[in-house]
Amino acid sequence: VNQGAPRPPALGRWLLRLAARADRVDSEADLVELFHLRLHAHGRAYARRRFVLDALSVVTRTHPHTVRDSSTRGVRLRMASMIEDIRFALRLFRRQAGVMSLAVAGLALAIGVNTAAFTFVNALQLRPLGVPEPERIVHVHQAYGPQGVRFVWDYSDVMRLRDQARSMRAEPWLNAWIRITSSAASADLEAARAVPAALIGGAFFETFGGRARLGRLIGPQDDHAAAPPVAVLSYVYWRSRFGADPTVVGRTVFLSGVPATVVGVMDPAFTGPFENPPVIWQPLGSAHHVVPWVEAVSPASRQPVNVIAKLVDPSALERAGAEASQVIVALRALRPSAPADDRGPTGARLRAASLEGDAGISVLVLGIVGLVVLLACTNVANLLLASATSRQHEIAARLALGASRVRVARQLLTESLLLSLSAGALGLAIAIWMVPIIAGLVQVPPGLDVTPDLRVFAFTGLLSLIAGVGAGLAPARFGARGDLLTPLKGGARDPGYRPNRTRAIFVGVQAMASMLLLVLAALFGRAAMHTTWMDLGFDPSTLMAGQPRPTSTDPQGARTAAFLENALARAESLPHVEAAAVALFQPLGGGYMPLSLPADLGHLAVHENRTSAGYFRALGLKTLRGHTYSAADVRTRKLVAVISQRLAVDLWGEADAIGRTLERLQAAPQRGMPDLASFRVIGVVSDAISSRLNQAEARQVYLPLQDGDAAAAAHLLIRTREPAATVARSVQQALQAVDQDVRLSWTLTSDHLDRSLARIRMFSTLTGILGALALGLAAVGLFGVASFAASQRLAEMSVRIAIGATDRDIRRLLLRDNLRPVMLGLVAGLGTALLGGQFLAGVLYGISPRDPLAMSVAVGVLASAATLAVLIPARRAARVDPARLLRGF
Amino acid sequence: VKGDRLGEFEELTLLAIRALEPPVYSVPIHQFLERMTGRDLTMGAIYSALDRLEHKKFVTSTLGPATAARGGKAKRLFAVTKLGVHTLAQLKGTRERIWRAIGAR
Repeated sequence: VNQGAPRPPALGRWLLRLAARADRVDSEADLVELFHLRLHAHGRAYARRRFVLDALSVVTRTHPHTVRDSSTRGVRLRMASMIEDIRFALRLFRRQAGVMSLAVAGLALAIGVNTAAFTFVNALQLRPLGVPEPERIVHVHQAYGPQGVRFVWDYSDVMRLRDQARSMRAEPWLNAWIRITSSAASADLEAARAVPAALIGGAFFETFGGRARLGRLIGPQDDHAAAPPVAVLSYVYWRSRFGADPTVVGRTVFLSGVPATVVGVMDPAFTGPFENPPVIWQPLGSAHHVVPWVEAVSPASRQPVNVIAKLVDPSALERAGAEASQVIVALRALRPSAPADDRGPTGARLRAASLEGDAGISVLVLGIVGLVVLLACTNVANLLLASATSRQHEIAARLALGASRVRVARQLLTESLLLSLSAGALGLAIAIWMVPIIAGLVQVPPGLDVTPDLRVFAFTGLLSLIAGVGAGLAPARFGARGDLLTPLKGGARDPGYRPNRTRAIFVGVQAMASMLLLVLAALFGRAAMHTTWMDLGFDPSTLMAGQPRPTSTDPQGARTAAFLENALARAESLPHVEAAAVALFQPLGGGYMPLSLPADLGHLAVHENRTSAGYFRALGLKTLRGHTYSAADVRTRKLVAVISQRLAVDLWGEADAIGRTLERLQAAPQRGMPDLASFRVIGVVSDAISSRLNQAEARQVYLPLQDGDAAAAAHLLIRTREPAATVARSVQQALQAVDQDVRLSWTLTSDHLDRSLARIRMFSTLTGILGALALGLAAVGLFGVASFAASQRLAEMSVRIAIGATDRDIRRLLLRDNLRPVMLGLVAGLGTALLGGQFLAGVLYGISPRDPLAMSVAVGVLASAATLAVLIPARRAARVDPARLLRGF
Repeated sequence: VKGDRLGEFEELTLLAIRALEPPVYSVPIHQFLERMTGRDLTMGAIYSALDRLEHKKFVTSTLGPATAARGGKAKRLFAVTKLGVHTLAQLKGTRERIWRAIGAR
């Protein structure tokens, strides 16, 4: 036989197995022969299709010599028999109420949790861009040569682009995080969470087709510096915060402490062309009242803004790009004062706006979802299998009375479908109830609409159907295959119990899926704990950072440097300020300079920061050895360094680091950064995770600030006496008074921390819930299987006890037999987790994906739950009275 | 239940068995009928027709020798009984009389 020869389709072969034995033997050879005839005459697809149809016809055909039942008659009778099936199933459920409600509850919980998880994935990832005609929306950036790109434009340049581009309508926008309160009280402000706001031009809504649900939208009349601050609320925020109150229009809300009038509520369909849907919309023109780092815009303003545009038609992309490039080139010619090193923009780059998002995470979530559904299906299948086995007598009686095997299979399928559909309905209710709770737990972006939509309902329906058919098919096959004689002869107490392979595989798969989920939950839990209680090495709650924005009027940074120096002095005299410092990088703000050391010192990821002398006090770092550099050292640009304890240990172990020299590999010097070749270590300070949260180790080198650091946008760091959120505004105003022309963008360090933490908390909560659910399902399922096996083997156990087996022997025997598939599944799950773990490395914040603690916790929890689930029925079996049972033999 | 009379498809199947060269088994019958009627037929329909024909004693079947080509499975070989031949001839006679009546008008 030719090995590559096409085989008849598996579906057809599987169908044939449902046929009565006599039919099967005859027809199989015929159908295969026909398959090959058709293959030659009409091709593969035709042959496969006809094979399945033939198989179906063989299974469903009527026999002249069998008793006709309702399944062989017309449609009306078939309907009647279906209702009969359903009624029978309901009667059966009532008889086994306990087991069935367990199955429905388990399945409902699984479907519910998964529907909830899917709701989030749906809202976060599968949502289309919240504007009409999203295919026409593009982001417009400035290109610097073939590689470089600058995302922002000067406001005045955007105005020119808007006037000159014919193939697109360009609009400026910015996003900001603001706190919305109902009063100006500082206690309110402190309690409020920062929410994303979109700052937009006056023509934005007209361009992108926004519609108001209530009131009006922002128009050109709102978009100038003298206009009073107004705001439009997103539909989701209006519903969640204002209870969909229609009188909200005209009300005053406080945006970061500044009163603004609510003029309208957005239509739910319009969430904007941005990746994160904003909670509130504000005109750029009056945003300078609310957002400290935005200046009052005017046609000549150099305020940096993002640009998003709508093409006149989808094919205009290239034309629009060329037009934007022309505008940029023309603008450059207008500004001969551009830096001499010729680093001006060379053209425009257009990028289609889409929600690519974090595909990996959706895959992960959907993968977990799939696992839990698999688990629940296996469980219900197990349960039904057990019930099908115990119903052998009934099924044999049906077959003996002339029911066709298809008829019996249909009965069993009806039962499982009924089971899963009721579980689906219950699951949907659970999901709808759970989504707001989870949303609160995981802190979803507040602008996001997480109410279930049609796609979610379709998902639940499909899930229930898959669960029902998946769980029903195996028992259906089993039930339809059973031989007639043994059960009718009273074989329900068949002493020849054989461990069932199908059931063992189910248990194994279940153990494997639980193991995977438990490992995930343990890992994320560890990571969340690690980040929550991680010692950052400094207190972020009373820290704020202001960054002067580079301006074209001060290319060398001399004015900014002077400002920073004056502001530093001014800050230290303010009542709310404990300490102040200047540093190139702010804590947790991301961004750092990797420092490459000579090879003999090893290849360590070392973060470099350059700071003023007060940095260590402002951050609260303890000096462990030597001393930190002084203000005079900084002023004279001394080549000295302070390093973190961790780096000192990694480089020199126990030996003293003071006085040693660190040399840097000569990397290409960055623009504006002095090329520091070597420096002497004068002090060791305590560790601080100060670059970003997932920075694994606190290896840090601190150097005195250099000339040019100010131009490279150093940060002014303020350590406040009270929580930074409460005093931020007065500090900002006081410092801005030092020089009105140097604008600062302010951030609270705790905001950085919150944003970094939100994601990992979300994952640990979700996987924790799913993992607990999986464990519960697995334990319940295993308990069911073990009880069933024990009851089936009661006669065998009685004989064993009668001939001298002890309690312990019986227990050990049952434990061993039942736990073997669990252990195999456990090992398989552990292996999969170890192999697949590397995909998670990025989101675990320093916890290794093969973290031994997480792994052993997961193994321990699963093993003990499984043992417990098996031990209870095993003990019961061991206590059986052999005399009573054997008498009934 | 159609009693001892022939249904349309049964008649066609019976005719096919007569028309075919031996060995006459399900697959050639199916192929022949598909070709002659121009319809897609399922094997289930063929089996049912053959079962009924045998039940009504219009055909007999014997198990042929096992053939290697069919994975060692034997073919069930069909032959039309005298009753079958007689019934077919009767049916044909009836039809022809009716058609003649139509043609004469």
